[in-house]
Amino acid sequence: MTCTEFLALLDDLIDDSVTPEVRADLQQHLRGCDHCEVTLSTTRKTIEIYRSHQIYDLPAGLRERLHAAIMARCKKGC
Amino acid sequence: MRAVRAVRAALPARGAGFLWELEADGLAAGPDFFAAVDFADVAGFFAAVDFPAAIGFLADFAFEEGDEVEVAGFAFVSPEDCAATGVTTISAESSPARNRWLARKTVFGEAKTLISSLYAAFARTQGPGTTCVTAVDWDFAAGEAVKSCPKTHLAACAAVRYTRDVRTRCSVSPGPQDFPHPTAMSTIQPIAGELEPHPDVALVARVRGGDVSAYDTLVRKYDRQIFRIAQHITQNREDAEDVMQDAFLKAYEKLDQFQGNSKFYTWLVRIAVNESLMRLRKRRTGKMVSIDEDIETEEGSVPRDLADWAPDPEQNYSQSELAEILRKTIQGLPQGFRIVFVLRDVEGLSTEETAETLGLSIPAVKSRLLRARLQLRERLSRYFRKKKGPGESRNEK
Repeated sequence: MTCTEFLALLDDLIDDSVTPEVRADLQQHLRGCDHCEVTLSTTRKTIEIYRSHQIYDLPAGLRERLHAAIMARCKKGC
Repeated sequence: MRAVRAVRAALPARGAGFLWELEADGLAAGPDFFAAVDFADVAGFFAAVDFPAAIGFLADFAFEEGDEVEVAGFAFVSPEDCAATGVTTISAESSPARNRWLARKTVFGEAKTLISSLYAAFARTQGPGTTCVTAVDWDFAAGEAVKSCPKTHLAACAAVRYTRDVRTRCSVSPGPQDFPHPTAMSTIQPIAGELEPHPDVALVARVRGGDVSAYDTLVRKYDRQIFRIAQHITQNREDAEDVMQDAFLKAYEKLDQFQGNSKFYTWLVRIAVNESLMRLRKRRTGKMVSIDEDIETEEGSVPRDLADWAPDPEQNYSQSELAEILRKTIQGLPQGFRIVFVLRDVEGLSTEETAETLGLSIPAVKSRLLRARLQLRERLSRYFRKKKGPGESRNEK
């Protein structure tokens, strides 16, 4: 397997949607290729960081204000 | 187990109702049908009218690798049409990004021809203007159907059987019990009440019945996600506030149009994405805004920065510094990549739901997701790579 072929399957590997046979091929490539190993681990970390650090929080005060506005309009039939 | 031999729909006048009949060895749906099928190792069964609905439902099942699931059945106009094509059971193999299932092949090789014949027959009954998509590959069919088919003219059926362990892990939303319009036709046939509906289904039903407090619950459940999505797209706090309000109000007004063949959340996200893009158009008067903006870039398609990252690299920054880095980095992505990444990786929609929400094909979503992930990785690498020792700093940016 070449690095290009590995890269084409990177998302499927990250999303855990490869067959056991393909996974074995990918793992074999990883054992001999530091670059792809780094690409895989850092891409996984990228996703994890964005998942665990929400950068646009809805502050409680704003949330309540928006919520009250929405519900007031709904009760009036919008 | 006696297999489900054929599935057929009897179509009354278009729009007047949509009745599906399921047959097992010649028995029509109903108590006899279920009595005839040995469901000892089968926990559920559903039928959906179109490919996107079928795919949406399949995604809801949260299958895991190794689960045994059979997907069978397509659209049928009359017993004569079924007989003319000789269709019995069609199964296909499929592998959406996050849910794998193993389907048994029966007449896979001939399936495309058979489906084409069925669709042609269906088109005849639906009159001029009917567009049909035929494909054996489910991912492809779903993508194509979303892209090119007026959904009112689509008919297909997926029947799914799966093992009891699958059911215990899954939450599945039944559709309406009667079908005022073909596009609303998606339902689960519960086996002796075993399937638990998604909690949103009951809430939506209560709102439709006039219970505004049930909508309050739905708003509180999803407001943070909708706000985040709006802010990711508009990149403006005030616009995001407006989008959030408008999206929830629009969803409330249009709740009667929500057809239950996608999740309420996915439907709401679609409204929020559209509202966000409209808001951007208003702000940038005269400039087109679309999710296809700026995607013709080669950046990030090949990893260049191959330095490994420090362990827990985010620990090297304060919360506010980290937030700034993450914000700046994702804002630099082309819009069409950013939305896909946010919906798919941050907000947890499936590939199919992301495709449906954005009106993209599944291959397009997959390609954008890969590019988005790689571009973000490349840009974050500047901040998170291992610090070099003295004398190694010539490549530092």
